[in-house]
Amino acid sequence: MPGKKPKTLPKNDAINEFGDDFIQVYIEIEKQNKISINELRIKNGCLPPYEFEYKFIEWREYIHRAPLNDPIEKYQFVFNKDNKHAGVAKRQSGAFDIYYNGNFIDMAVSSNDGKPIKCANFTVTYDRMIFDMQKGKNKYRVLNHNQAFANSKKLTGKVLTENLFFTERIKNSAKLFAGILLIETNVFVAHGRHLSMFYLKN
Amino acid sequence: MDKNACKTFIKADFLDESYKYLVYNSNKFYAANDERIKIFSVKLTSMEKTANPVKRFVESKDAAEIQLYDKVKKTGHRIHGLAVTSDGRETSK
Repeated sequence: MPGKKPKTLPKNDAINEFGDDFIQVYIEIEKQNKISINELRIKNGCLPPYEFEYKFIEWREYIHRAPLNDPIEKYQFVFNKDNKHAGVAKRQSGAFDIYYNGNFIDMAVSSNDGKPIKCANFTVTYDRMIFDMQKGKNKYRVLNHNQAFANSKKLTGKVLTENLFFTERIKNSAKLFAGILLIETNVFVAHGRHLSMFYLKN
Repeated sequence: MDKNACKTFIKADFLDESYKYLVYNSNKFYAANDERIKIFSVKLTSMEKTANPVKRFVESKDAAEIQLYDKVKKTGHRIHGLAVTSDGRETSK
């Protein structure tokens, strides 16, 4: 906020019923390449001295799967407005796993041959997930949180740009356009220090 | 973004470029790279007492370290993120 100095950091205390501090840690399990969501609990965590106790507690039951040896190269997650965790883990091969509320939901596989569906990129926004499949008419697929990939739909009504994933992620937080004004057949858009004009007939 | 907007920097020599994740909870920072978590505190209240707060460095306390190996007793597991929730277990409802 312009002209305002922060007096302190915002209050942000996650403390359980025993008074222990905790944060969540997302750990990839070796060979299975699956995300295990843990709470890191700190007891007597006043620093210094560092004579504190800590332990990792599995947030949800971790269900093992057969080794894949396909390391995760990108894991992205959000906490949505209902404070539910939603995440996607893409592995080196392009195959990906979907997580919701701390649970593993789905490894996307083809209904035809059962082989993993692969994506080139993805982003998790605060209300949905978008996948870049990099081929076919349905290049971009969109999926609501808490759904298997079989329920994904073609992304429609979007101006597709290279910044699509980034702008989708910040759309509810950042005000990209300060104002839009229509004068006859001209549309004026204010953004940053610039004013863009679009001519509707073109 | 105006590069001069940031006036205060946290000096944390114990963090190198491998540390990709950072959260704040209960007066402590948690920074993590692939295999370890460092916990440190920063005294920010002194900001208000400084006459000239332009580009000053705030010393952070030394970090405590948690190795991921302590949990799993072997290498290969990797950290992919940190998060703070008000109470994670409540979200199962």
